[in-house]
Amino acid sequence: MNQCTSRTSFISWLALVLFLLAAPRTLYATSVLAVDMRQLVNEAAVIFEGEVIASEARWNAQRTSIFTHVSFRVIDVIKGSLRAETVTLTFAGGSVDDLTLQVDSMTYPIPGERGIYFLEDPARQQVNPLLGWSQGHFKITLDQKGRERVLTAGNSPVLAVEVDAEAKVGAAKQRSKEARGMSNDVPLSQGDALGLRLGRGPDDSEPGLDKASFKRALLGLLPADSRDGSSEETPVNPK
Amino acid sequence: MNTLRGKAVQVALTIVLSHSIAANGYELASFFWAEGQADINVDLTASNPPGVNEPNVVAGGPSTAELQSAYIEALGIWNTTSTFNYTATIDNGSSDPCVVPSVDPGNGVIFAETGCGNAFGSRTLAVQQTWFSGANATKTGTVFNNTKQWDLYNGSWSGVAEFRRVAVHELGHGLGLNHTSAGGAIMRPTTGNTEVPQADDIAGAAALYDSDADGWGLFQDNCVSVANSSQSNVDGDAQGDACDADIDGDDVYDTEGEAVSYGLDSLSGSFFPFGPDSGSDFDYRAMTFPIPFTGSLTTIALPIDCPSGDLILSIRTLDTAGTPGGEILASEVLAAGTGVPTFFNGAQEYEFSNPATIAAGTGVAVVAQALSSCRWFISAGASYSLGVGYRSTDGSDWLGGGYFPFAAVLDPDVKDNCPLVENPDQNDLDVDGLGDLCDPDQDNDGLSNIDETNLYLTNPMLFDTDGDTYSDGDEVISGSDPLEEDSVPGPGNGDINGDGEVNLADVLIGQQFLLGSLSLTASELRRGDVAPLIAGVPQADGQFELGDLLRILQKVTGQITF
Repeated sequence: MNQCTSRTSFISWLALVLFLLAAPRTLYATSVLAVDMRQLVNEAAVIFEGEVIASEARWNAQRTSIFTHVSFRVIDVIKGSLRAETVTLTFAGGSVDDLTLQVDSMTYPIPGERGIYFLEDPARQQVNPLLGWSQGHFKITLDQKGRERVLTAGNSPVLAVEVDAEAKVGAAKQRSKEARGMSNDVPLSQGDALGLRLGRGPDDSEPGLDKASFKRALLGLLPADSRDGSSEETPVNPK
Repeated sequence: MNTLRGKAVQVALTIVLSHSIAANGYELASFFWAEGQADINVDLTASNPPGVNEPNVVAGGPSTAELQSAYIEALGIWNTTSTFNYTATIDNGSSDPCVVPSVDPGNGVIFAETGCGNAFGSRTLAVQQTWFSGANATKTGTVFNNTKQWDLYNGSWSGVAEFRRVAVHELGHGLGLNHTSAGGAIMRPTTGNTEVPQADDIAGAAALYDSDADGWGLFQDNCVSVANSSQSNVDGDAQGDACDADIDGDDVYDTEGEAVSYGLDSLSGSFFPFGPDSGSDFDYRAMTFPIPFTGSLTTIALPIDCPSGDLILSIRTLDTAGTPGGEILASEVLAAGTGVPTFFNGAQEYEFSNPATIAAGTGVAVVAQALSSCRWFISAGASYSLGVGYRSTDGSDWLGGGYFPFAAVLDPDVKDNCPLVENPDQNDLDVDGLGDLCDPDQDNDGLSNIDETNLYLTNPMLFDTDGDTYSDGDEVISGSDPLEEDSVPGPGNGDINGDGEVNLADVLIGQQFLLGSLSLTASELRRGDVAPLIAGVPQADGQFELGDLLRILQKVTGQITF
């Protein structure tokens, strides 16, 4: 018995490579209402920069459901406060052995990922602890010159935070639609928060904002009295 | 064997094409429903009883019964527009989407204050949860956020969550569609007036449940891997003629090298690891499957790779529990890198050096044992309905597991001599390879059965009805009476093929006979037996020789007449 090492093998290998290249990078949220950057910044109880140091999917105590526990090393707290240098967030769903619970279309920060995360309410366990799901999930990557750049969860570079400009455009569009008797769109999330100007891909042709500029933009959306971290420690996803 | 190699290429190209399409439109989830359908327990009165946790609707909004009807309508919308099939079990108790299927296996829908015990968060309208093993979905359910107010209406979005279109959207997730970027699609995360699946949504469902693109979904298609829009099915069994190795259902199979394929149509990037160094607890994976006809199992095609260590591939009988713990019928050891690939390389074909002969109706299993680390790649959108997947730590104690794609090649012991007509006895009166029930000339006398019955009144099952040693066909051609023993054909005239003319065609037939490349029937021989000629009259000598050929040639060229 011989393995077939003919042209079929090469084509199959090539197909796999193309498949991997073609695999969509977009991330999704389920039926989640859209949120703009101002709402995101102001409604998040905690905004922090962190690095994922571990991720594990486990059964709950009753063995009725699966949760994915993602642990972060906290690098910087931009809003609110965290009482420890590491925090663990719990997301519904995940895979244990051959069994998977998919909470449509949950995405999980993966080990090694660095990012800026918006927590809606760290005191409550939520289906997804990130405000607006993937809308409250930004990644930080290094460009070719070693500078930290900010991407959305769907890997689009964040070129600018333009909440007010988008609001004006949106209002104008809405007036135009109403004048033509057209309906509103359902304000469901498309994965990225509103009020962002995004590039097409994570390459250096459109490198996007560096981390410091993005953080400054976030702080600029906060009321002045909220720009310092809270002194009161907040538990994160008590289990 | 070439067929299977072609199939492997097709598998690879399918992956590329499907994902190229997906990049610009529909996106598929990591799971699918093996049967192409799902039944949902719909009982909102049970899950959300009056006065306890009734659905939260706007003032004057829909009743619970109306919401339930809208959800059932949403199920039906997918049925009428796509190749997936939702059914509903109505008012027969609810199923909790939040609970593992081993505890509550039913698919369900509920309104709840939380998403399975976790706060929805301020932005979440509804969550669709789906459980799956490998890629095989086992349970799905919709949880509507009952902290939001709901309503039912058509047309423009009013700012209040409209239940029906959110249900359609969530059920799209339930059947295996992710969000799409295609404008206007129901699976687009931002929707306006869209209330039913659009072309992109339907194409996405078809990618999962109509891989042969014949318009018939997996739940109803009688050939899931072969396009057969007619669904023609002579024997009325579960397999359409286009993919049925026994079209007429007489248990005698039609062709050699029949490939029995399970789930090889669209391999995904997901896999089941197995082997002691794979990170899995299981060294063995297996799939059972039925043997449809008696024959030799010569070849298996598998999408398995072994990054390290060898693979032992075997065919086993099933034990009394129906698991793959029986006798080993055939076995091969495949060395990593030479016998089995070390990286994912599509479906590879393996021939058994000592094929197993297996009787029809027997259940067997293809068993793969990793000696170090192997991976069996899984499929999306393919049917495993005839087989069952297993896993084992030691090859004897088998647990249910994922479903694994593979193909088997069976060479039947007997080929059907009437593939389209049921004839289990395989009777063949004239021994010409065509069974009597499908042989237009059962007795091979040169007359069709129909003409013998209706025109010449001869016996279609007798070569020589009147017993005068001349076939019925020969007598008809020669002008004698096939029903009268005393009426016999006259001497031959050189018209070997009996077409009414003596021409070059007869010369060529005679020449081929003399060269040994053609045989003559008794009638043909008689018509060609013209030499010697005495006084211009053929004198048959019972032989066809060079002299006969020369006389026919002379007649064709006009040198002589007779």
